[in-house]
Amino acid sequence: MSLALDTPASPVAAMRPRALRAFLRNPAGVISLGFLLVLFAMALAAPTLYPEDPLSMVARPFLWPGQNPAYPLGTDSLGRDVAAGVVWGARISLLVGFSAMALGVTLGLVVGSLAGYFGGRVDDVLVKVIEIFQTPPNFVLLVVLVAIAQPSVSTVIFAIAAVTWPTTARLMRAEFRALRSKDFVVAARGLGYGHARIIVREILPNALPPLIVTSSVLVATAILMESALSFLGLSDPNVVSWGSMIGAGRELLRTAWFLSAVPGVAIVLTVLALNLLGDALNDALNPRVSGAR
Amino acid sequence: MSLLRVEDLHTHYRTATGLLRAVDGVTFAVEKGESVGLVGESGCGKSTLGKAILGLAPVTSGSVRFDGAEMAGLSERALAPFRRRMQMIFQDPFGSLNPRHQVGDILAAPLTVHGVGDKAGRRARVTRMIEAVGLPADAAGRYPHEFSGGQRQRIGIARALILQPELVICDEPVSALDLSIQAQILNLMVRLKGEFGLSYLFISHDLSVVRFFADRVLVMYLGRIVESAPVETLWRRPLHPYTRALIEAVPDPARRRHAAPLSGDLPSPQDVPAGCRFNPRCPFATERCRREEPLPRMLAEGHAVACHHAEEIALTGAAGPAGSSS
Repeated sequence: MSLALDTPASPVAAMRPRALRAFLRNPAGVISLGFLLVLFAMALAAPTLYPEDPLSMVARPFLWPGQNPAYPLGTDSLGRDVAAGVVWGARISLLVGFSAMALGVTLGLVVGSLAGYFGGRVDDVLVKVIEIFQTPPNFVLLVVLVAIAQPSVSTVIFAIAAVTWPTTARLMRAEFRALRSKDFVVAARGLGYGHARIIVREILPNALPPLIVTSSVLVATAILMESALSFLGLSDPNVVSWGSMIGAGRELLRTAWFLSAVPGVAIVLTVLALNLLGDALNDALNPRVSGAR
Repeated sequence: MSLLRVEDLHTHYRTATGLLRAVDGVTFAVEKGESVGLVGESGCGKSTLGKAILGLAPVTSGSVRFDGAEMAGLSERALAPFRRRMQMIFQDPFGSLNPRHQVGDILAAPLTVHGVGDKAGRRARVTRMIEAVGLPADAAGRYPHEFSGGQRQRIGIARALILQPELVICDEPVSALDLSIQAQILNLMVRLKGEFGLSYLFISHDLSVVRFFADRVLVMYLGRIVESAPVETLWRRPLHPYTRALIEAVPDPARRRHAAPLSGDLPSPQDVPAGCRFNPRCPFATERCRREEPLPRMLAEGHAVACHHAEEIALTGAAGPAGSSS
């Protein structure tokens, strides 16, 4: 009787270090991550950097960027510091972006995984619910939701989560549908594992990579939505956000274009960084694309 | 009492293009300590049958009795006590292990779920099982992708046996492996059978593997068992023309090829031929075969066949269809 061991496969590096290495080899991803970390640090340090309320008038109106070294990004029509607005606005943008993403992803994950795992009638019902949210144009639904509730940071977060969760739900439903018929899931059923254990311990870890990628793009989407809302004056009027700064500068576009351009650049860079980060994570977490073994 | 008794089992799937009869009236039994081979070509329903027995594929009608207790139609919860006593080994050693769990966790989880032992006891049992299937001692801390196909199949076997089941259903356990590794895994399974007192239902399309492994063989065609016999009887004196074609298709230098290989493809299980379901491909088919479905008949001790002309075919011996009357 042969009891000799099979020839072992060449020891392939474990999953996580491999993904990390692939990510570190991608300059766009690393730069984006660095930019976002700096932005985070800035947002957290806002009370120290600019202890003054960013809505208070601190200097002569219409100082151009560079004109007065104390106000490197200039001042607006009411003499408010633009640099302070950008830094304080980053807090709102990041808070709304990440909170709305977390809320939307959680809801989408729960609905999508249940629909995909159980299939059948559960799936039929949940897909209908998803479709109800997907039928109206996203932004119209968002405006309606915010208009019904009082505009404040938390209602904006809830409203954005309410219009973005179907994306995650659809993605997770597809992943769970594909994974539930895999042999290791059939084996788990055969071993008598409960549904909760199969969903959380067996399937979810395998569905995480696409979820992580989508999450970073969803943060960008949420930041854009918040900016658009505050541009229209539908966001919390008591806080400075990048969108409200653009909205306020809009009427002075010909005389003081920098008032809209500065927060605009902040939005572009942040959204770009989040998208590039999403791409980099996608490449790193998807072995077929990264090609690295 | 038989360990496993399957009676008139049907598994039908409703599909967009019609009813698919994957398993269409199967009856057989597995005795304690027996290895039963189940052979048939791809798509004949043998994997579905294996899964249906374990409650992993739906049972449309019929009965599955394990140690006398009815299993068909039970809820997941009610099946739990049976899960400990019957397990499955899968074909694909790459797809059947969760890539995100370490081997030690894969083997310990069934014990945790069924509340077997305490933490230390479970760890000891995992270590013993890793040793029993011939995996390296440090396997518990590694991930499935660090192992070769044959080693992964050992992990799959260890997982199936960790709950100390009585019946193991093996769904093509070696067909995804290299030939040299196949022999190692088959030897391992034979050894473990003695060590753990197992009974096997061994599903395979490879007759030579089944011949090595099984005590008794069931031949499945398009959702039905067409012949069942002890392995050597079947090999020496196949009664069903389909069995004969299968055996003659096995390369064997000691035996001349007697008959033309089977022509045509397996018909769709959505469109089962009238009469004998093998008649469109059968060299012996007569008018009666096209009209009337043959029932399984016991022609010798332990040798059943579902064919109207089994006796005549047996008489033609190895001469093939030349002398058959219509």
